[in-house]
Amino acid sequence: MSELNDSLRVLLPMFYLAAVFAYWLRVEMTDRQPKGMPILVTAAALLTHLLLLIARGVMLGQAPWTTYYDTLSALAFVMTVTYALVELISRSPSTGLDLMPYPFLLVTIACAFGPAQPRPFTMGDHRHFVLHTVPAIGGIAAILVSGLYGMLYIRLEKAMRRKRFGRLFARLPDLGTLARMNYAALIVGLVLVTAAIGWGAAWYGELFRRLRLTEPKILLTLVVWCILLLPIFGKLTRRWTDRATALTSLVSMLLVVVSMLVTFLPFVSFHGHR
Amino acid sequence: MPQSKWNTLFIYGMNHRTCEVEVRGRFALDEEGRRRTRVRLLDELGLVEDVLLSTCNRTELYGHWDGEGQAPDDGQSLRERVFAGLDAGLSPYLYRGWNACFHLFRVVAGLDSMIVGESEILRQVKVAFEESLAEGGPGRVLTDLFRQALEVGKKIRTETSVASGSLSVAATAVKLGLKIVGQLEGKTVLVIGAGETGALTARHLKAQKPGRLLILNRTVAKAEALAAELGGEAGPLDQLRDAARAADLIIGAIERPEPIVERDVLAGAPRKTRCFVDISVPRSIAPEVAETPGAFHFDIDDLAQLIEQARSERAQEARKGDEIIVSEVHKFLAKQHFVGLAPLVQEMRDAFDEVLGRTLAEGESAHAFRGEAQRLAKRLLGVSLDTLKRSSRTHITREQVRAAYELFLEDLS
Repeated sequence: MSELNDSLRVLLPMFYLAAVFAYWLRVEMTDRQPKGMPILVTAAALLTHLLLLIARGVMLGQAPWTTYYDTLSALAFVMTVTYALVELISRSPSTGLDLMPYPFLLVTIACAFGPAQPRPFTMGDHRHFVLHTVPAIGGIAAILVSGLYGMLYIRLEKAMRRKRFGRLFARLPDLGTLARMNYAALIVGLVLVTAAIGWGAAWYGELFRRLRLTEPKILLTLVVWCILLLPIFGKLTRRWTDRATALTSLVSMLLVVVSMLVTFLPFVSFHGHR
Repeated sequence: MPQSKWNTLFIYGMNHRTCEVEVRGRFALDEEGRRRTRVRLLDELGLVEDVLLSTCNRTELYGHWDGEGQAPDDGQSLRERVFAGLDAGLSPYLYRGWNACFHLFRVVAGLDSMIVGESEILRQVKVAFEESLAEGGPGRVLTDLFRQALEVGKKIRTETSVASGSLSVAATAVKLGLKIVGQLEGKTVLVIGAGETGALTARHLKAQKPGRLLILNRTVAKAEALAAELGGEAGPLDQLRDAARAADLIIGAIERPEPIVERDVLAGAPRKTRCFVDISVPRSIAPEVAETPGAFHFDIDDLAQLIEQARSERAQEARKGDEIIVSEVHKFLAKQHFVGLAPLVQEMRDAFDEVLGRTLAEGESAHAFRGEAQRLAKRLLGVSLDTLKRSSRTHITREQVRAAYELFLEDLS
């Protein structure tokens, strides 16, 4: 199992890089490449990733995201699954080149700097661990995907307002579709983050007596959760444009990235897998 | 392989590049006109096969003769017979042999059209061929040529993007609108104006299956007639404010000295993504509507930019089509060469039968070996035919065809 783990850690970034390259080829040489090639390479990367997660989970006896780096790896996996589903449903591989570099980056960091052998987490066997972390990772992945679609929306909108009908205009789906993807991912993120907060609160109540709002991860997550509610109210009151939703998801994404970074700093957060 | 061997095949005609519209118009024939002209030419020119193609942009006679006697495309005879009575402004072209194949394949692929990649020509060639075929016009050579040409036309449209992108203002306006608001199912679209451009725009919009199609016009009866045809709703221009606020995509195609959609049309309206596309000159929609959150505005200059882009993309794709044409003309010539060997094949078959019969008659136990010997003879004949087919393919190389095609293109330009 250890050898399999080592081999997959080397192979995984290569598979993700191959997927990014396949999407790049799709954009640059549309007519010379089989249409389904990028999603097939992505599926191969996901399969390899799943094997790695299983191998590390079996070695550890815990959910395989007990270190900061393993969490990044799990996050990349969920982001890629989300993107693959979006591509299969929309039958449009045109945003692959914009989304797949991020999971590639996360996987490369995880495999290059993370511990070769999985490390157990003191709380990893706790019954709340999986219940809290699964929706948390899913929610963060959905917010990141939503933010990336929001970024694409804003880029395309800007190009169109400036009457620039270049490569971005030709390659990306229409603004309506980007807005739908952006909003759908945002809703999924909100639901999962709500679940994660719920389980986290229950777990927190068991561990501590007093709520510490100065804990940056908790504070930022609550801020993100409030921000995610805004587009829903905005849509209900019909005072909210797709651009505003895109900007909201972009801000949420940035806050989520900051909240992940603070857990990396020692003595700042108890969310640091120590 | 000398090209002159194929000179029994020729095309004589005129098109939008060689004649003014008035001249072309005088020779654009209807079905009956085409039939009469074709029958007359077949007789007068002594052709064994012919097809006559006549559209608004081209009139072309495709002919094949048996190579006996005076060539029908000699001197003035074609000019006098095909375009009788037309002299002024007439600059016909004549392509023989391989060049005739190149020309037809380019025509069917839309590479020779006024709007590169247009698909109507494929249908027009098919109709012309079928009409002529019904009256025994094309024989083996032209039938093979036209059938392959029609396949090439489909292949080039499938394998290249030569037909992609819109080149008409109405279609481009709809395409641009779709890029903003996405699919129109369940959405409301508004067309301002029910004139020629407005009607064309409404038809393009209808093809996208919008939830509601609103048509407003000065003359309500005209809007109503169009709405009835397309299953939309019609109304007068004084409903414009409410209609614009309800719509997701608004296209202005009306002649007015001043913009009819003013900047404050969306004041107080619920916020959503709206796209205004103004295809009128002078403007019918004030560009300031784009200052409202969620609203976009495009005008005819923006569409011109997109149309020019599509035109240059098509020109690039046409070069890929050229490569397919070289390959397909090569295939056609190889097939024709092989078909030309039919007498030789028959001679071989007869010789095999004769040798077989003689050998079996001389043998003592002929009856026992007859079946075996026949199978062997059949196999040997098969091997010989395969060798002939291979030799037909290498008889004329693709490089030779490509070189000839490049010369042909050079002459065209």
